[in-house]
Parts: sequence; C-alpha cells; structure tokens
Amino acid sequence: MSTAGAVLIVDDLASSRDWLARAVTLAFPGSELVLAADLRSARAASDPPPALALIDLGLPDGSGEELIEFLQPRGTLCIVATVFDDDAHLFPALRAGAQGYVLKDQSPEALAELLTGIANGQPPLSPSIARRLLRHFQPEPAGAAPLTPRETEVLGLIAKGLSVAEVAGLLGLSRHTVAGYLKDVYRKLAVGSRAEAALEAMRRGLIAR
Amino acid sequence: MAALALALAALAWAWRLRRLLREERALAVRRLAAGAKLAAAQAAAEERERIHADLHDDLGARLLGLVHAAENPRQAELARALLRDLRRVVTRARGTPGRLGDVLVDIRAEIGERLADAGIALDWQVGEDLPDPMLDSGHALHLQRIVREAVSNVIRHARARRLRIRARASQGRLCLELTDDGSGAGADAPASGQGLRGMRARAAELEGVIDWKTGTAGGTKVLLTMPLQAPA
Repeated sequence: MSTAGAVLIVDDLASSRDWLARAVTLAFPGSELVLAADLRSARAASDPPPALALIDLGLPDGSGEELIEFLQPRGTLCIVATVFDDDAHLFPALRAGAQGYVLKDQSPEALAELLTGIANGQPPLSPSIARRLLRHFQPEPAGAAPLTPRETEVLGLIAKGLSVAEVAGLLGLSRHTVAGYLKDVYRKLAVGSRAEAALEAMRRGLIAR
Repeated sequence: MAALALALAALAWAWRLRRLLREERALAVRRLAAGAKLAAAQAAAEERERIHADLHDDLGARLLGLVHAAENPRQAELARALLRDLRRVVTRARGTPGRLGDVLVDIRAEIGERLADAGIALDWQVGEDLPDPMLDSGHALHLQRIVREAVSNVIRHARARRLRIRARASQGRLCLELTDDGSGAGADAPASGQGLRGMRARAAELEGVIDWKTGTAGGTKVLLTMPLQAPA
C-alpha cells in the first residue's frame, strides 16, 4: 500500500482508536489519520474513500459490515479490528469484503506487523474460518467463482490446524505464494457475495435484467 | 352369507381405521416431541447469543480497556490473558455444530496453545482414518470441556513435560486417551473434586465412560470412550 492515501479508524472506544492509531503510525509512517466513532461520521469522512480502513464491527449506530460493503468496492482496503475472532463473528464481515482482521488487544508493534502483512497481501486465517470457507464454497455458491484445486488444498490444510509456513513447506511453495492463494479466496468470497446480492435483487425484480 | 361378508368387511375396515388412527396419533406425538426439542434447542441458542452479546459488549470492552490503559507490560499481559480466556469461552460456548474432525482440530488449537504456555509438549496422534460423523453442538461442547478439564489437571498437578493425545475408533466407539509423563497425581481418580465429577457427568451425556489409570510412563492416563454415531 502506498502511504499517500488516508487511513480511516472507526471504533466507538476512544482508547481503542488511540491504540490503533499508534499501530497505524508505526506501520505506515506519515499517513494521514482520520478517526471516527460511529458509522455516520465514518461515512462523512469517506469522500474521497480512504486507502485503508480499520473497522470495529459493533458500532453504536450499526454494524461495521455496512461500512465495509460501502468502502470495499470503492477501492479501500478494509480490515476488521475486533476483540473476538470466532468464525460466527467474523465471517459476515469477510463476506462483506474485509481483506483481513486483527485482534485489538495485541501490542501496537504486533498490530503494525499484522497490518503491514495484510497490506502486502498476507491475510491471516484461523482453522475455524478456513473450515467455514470450505463449507461456503462447497457446493459452489451461485454467482461465485469456484475455488481452484490448489486453493481448496491450501484451505484444507489451514483447516487442519497447519500454519502458512507449514503449508508452504508441505506443498513445496513459498510462503508468499500460499498467502497469495488465501488472498484470492478472500477476494472470491466478497465478489461472490456481491454477485449473489445482485442475483437476489434481480429475482425480486429490484433491478432491471 | 352376504350379511356376514359385509360384517367382516366392516370389521376389517374398523380395524384398519383404528390402526391408522393409532399410527396417526403416534406420529403426532413424535412430531410434538421433535417440535419441543427444536424449540428447546432454539431457546438455548438464543440464550447463548444473549450471553455472547453481553460478554462481548461489556466484559470484552472492559478488558480491552484494561489492556490499553495498563501502566506496565505485566499488567497488560495479565489483562490480555484474561481476554484470551474469555475469547475461548465465548467461541466454544457458541457451540457451532460440526464434524468430529472439526471439533478435534479446535481442541488441538486450544490446548496446543495452553500446553505451549506451560512448557509441556503435545504429541497429537489422531489417525487420518478416524470416522468423521456430525456431532451436535451439545456433544461437541461436552467433548471440548472434558479435554479442557483433563488438560487443566495436567498443567496444574502433574508436573509433566509431555502429553500424548490419541484418538482412534474401535468397534463403533471413539477411544480418546490423554497420557502424561508426570507424577501420576491423578491416577486414583479421586471420587471427590468438582472437575472430575463434571467430567464424569459430561461423559455420561455422551453416553460414554471416562476412567483414570496409571499411565505406561508412570503418569496419568485418562481414557474416554463414547459411541461414534450419535443416537438419532
């Protein structure tokens, strides 16, 4: 990511905003920070859309998912900043187009490293979320591009509890290549959910064929 | 003769009708029971969601505040450890239904982290050929809690360096063995102790049996066996 664009931080807790701001400054020195405490002010601060957005899901005036749905198609790299990383909690945000997530209790230094990783195309993936992804793409959801055999293989190994480094070693690939597969899976998930929404709208006669 | 045939036919018809009615009633009773079970499961799921929301919005946010406001790294680490525990409880308590293999992977991820923190090596032996039936969320939760408690005992009492966990199938039953190389402090399975009582009760919920023995390496072996196919 270039440091030219603004970084939007959306969280209703002031101490959380400051904490995340410290991490962003470490990861992307010199970037312009925009802080927002709710959806309304985040939307108001999104014209032009920021290059990167760190978004808490439980906001006072709605879910951060709405903001992700709004920003991701406009080219913003959306990352969820959360306290809980279980699949039930995160999956809807990933479907909305988030390209990764971080846990807010990590130190600013650890957060900065994760943010840099996500911005460079190395998204995190836990076994339970990998499983949820496998289930989601099988059978093939309507409107979504199917996973390639390699993507399915990588997801399957992550779902068994292996780390990205272990998967790379096992398949004789670089970590970078494995991370690239994961990034593609995230992308297919978001594209699929938008295509699905369009199909649904068409079926209901909401938009012209 | 014709009257007799008619009477017989009427009798046969009446019998048939009675049988049909009986079957109908039995079906209705079964449906009602299934409906009640579904409603109970739904209510339990809603209650879990409510608790989840409370934990998340309240306790989670406050612990996070403690991490952020900590005056020194030790305080921050303490609050962070509490938040990690809360995260585990919240994630597991949701009781997402899944397959046996999913539950075992989650268990491995959880206890792998805890054992590593305690400096105990984990030797995970789960065969690729283990059957992979669906587990309902209740069964999954019992299995996770039994292993969590057994691992807590190893960390607290056993002075072990190594824990081997082996899962295999035998005659339609799952055999789960946890063997440590510690002092053998838990081998006599003291009848008292809330933890052990809880483990027994959970094993019973799984229609299984749990037992404590002296392990081959002198430590403690916990053996859980349960049917692999959950009763319908």
